[in-house]
Amino acid sequence: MTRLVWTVAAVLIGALLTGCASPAVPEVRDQTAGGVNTPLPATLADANSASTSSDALPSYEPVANLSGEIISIGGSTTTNVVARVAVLFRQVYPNVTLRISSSQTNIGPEALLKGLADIVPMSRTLTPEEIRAFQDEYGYAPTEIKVAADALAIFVEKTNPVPGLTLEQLDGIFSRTQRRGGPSIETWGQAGLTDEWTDLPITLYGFHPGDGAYRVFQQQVLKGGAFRLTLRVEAGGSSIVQGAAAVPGAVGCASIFFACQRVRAVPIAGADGRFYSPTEENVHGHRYPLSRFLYVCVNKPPRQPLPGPAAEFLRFLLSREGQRIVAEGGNIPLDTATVKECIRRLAD
Amino acid sequence: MPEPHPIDPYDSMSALPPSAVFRRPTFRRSALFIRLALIGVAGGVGALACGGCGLVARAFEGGAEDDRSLLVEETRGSVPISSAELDELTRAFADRYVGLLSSTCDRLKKDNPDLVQRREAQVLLADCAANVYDIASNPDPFTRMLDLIVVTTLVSQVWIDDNRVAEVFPTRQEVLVRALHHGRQEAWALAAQVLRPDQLDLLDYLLWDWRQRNRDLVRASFVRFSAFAGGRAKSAGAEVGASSGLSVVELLGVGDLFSSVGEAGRAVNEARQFSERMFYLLKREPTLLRWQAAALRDGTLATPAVGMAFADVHRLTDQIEQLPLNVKAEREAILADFDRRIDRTDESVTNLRRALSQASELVTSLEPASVALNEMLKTANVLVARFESSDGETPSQPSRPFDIREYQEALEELATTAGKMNELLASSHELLGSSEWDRRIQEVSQAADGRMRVAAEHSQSLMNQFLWRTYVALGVFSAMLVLCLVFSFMLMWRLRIVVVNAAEPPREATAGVRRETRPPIDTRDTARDTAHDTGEGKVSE
Repeated sequence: MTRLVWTVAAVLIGALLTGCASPAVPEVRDQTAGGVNTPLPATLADANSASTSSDALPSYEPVANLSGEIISIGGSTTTNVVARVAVLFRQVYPNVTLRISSSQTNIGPEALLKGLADIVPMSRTLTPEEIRAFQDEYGYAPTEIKVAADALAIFVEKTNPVPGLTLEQLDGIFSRTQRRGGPSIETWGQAGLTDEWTDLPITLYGFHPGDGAYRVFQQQVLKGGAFRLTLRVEAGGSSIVQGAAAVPGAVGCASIFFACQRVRAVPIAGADGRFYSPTEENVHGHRYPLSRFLYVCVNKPPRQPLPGPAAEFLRFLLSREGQRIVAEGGNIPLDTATVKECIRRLAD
Repeated sequence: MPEPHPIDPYDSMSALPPSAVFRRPTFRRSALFIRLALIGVAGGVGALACGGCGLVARAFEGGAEDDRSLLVEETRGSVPISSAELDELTRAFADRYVGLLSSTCDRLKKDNPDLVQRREAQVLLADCAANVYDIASNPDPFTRMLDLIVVTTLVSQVWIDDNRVAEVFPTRQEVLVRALHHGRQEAWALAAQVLRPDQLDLLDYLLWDWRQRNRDLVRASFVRFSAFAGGRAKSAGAEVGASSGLSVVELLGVGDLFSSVGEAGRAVNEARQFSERMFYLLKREPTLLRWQAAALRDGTLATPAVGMAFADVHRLTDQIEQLPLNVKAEREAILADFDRRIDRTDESVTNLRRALSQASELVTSLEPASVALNEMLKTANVLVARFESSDGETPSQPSRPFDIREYQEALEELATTAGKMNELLASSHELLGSSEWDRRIQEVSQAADGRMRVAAEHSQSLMNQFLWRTYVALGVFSAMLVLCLVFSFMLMWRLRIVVVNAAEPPREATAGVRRETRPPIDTRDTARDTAHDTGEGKVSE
């Protein structure tokens, strides 16, 4: 009898422990697998998750008696990041003056070439022509330092049921040349939607041609082709996103930085054919095809340190504190490997 | 760590080298370095305000590589815009924007029973109209334009980007979204005639960034561009002018338009512009007041207490409205029920009439049958009488000769009677086979059962009454019998006393007393009593 009581008690305790160990919530689907219709991460959530990843970076160690002046001339997108970091940098080094000017991305390389700027924020890489012109002047190439990551998102109104788009479809939607070989897509029915979406025309919103994102999209998606003439050029990212949010059937391309509640970022097919959302993880893993980096270009001779306080500013920008500011501002911070590679390039 | 101090975004512009002079194709100014310090986000709020972010306008000759870019640049810069034109454009836009919002408000309120939605629509209209007209009366057209961009952009961000429109107007959101987005696009199109794309891009970013840092702000129409100037309580134009020695208009490249105008003419222009602004605002004040009053009214109506009162009134009026319908429905139900009963009664009467008709037919059919039967009986009677008479007649009398025709007639009559009997039987059979007959039979049976039941009850009652009276009679009889026996016993007892007294001599004391109190005794009675007791009297009789 005693043995029976002990057996029953053991079974009950075992069942209780098993119930406690079982997950109370359903298993979360792995977003990195790139399933369609993955929810768009909020900008703030992105910042929080990014700050978590930036915690792995080394903390910044100030140097003594730093003073001087830093002149920054470059594109507005990356200049915004630089300006944010500059606030904290000035708290560390009050004797350093930062003169930050922003304009279109095109003026940055020219300012660097003419020695008007110490740092040049860029939202794209330098073109071969720009590098060649710089080499002709100085005998070496300018140094491009990655300071943040970014994802160009394809925004649609949040009720739009499109599960995902391929690069070929994007080329058919945005381009009038279709260099990827796909058909021209002018309605959502041609993009695979049915019912009331079948005959709904696609309204395009995009950047100004002088913007860095314009060229990135043109090179990565259109393969250098031409945009449609019906593209509605907006002044900035938030205007593009609002256009996608307000007009039924509209689609806009802008940084994930400008995501709002009324739009949805469409997953894009990666190199493996699977659809990936513009999350930080997919950007770092190079799975999201429209990923890009934000750069700061400097005039650094090979095997010589960067003159002035600009080098210290870049070190601060690549530190844990700097990347945390990047993340808090809604941008995607760099991963550890990229930061180490950038620091190595600064030291070379 | 040293004590941090805020960064002045505008002082960063003063130290740029002279070589950093950019040409601005929009206004075709060669080697013009424009220090447009537009932006300064508040120190605690905007990092850019403290970060020294500014605008450096520059466009390199041949720098634009893209043909489309050149096209846009040339399109925007081909027609210089003057201050007067900007003045007119901003005011015209203000009127269009308010008109657009007014139409949208009307559409949001039309046939809309939701008091909260009506209030929100009216408040949106009143706030935006008041602020847009306030902006339009600003003396500086450039500041006016910037403020209009700020208001239209922030209002659209609050309602569209933050999706407030779906929360407040869930069923009519498309109307407001379309209007606000259109207003924003038009404002930015206006700004594109003055600012370069990079300036627009930066302004767009600053507004978006400011909105992200002030997400709790709902009534964004009260925000001005000066709010981005570090909270210095100065307009952006004055700030820029103080730091660089140039006015905003001059920074934009339109200042040279005033260079040829003398001081007197400038004063006249200023007075005229002031008057125009006053007239502009005063002419719109009645409309603004009307909208404000409407907003106040809608706000009052949307309060919970008033809402409950209105809900009660609505319920009452609904009930009153439905009362005639309810009465009508009940009346129709009553009439329908009455009609059903009338139909049933009519059916019963019809059935009764049919039964009576069948009974009449039966009686009618029975009458000839009875006549035929009567004749048959008469004939039979005659035949019987004939046979009887033939049996009793004497042989001396000659009998009437046999006539076969009489039998033939009798048989014919008999056949006729039989046929009528058959008809009668058939009619009776038909009558018995009809459902009405069954029903009548059932009714009769039920009536008979009822009668029998009543009779039984009545007989039961009679029996009860009879038995009760019998019991009473027996009781009375028993009582009388008992009384009779009692009287008999008493009488006998008294007679025995008399006999005993008569047989015994009277006592002295007591007897004398008794003689005095007793009445005199009849001697004859006494003698008879004595004889009866002794048996002598009986013998003598």
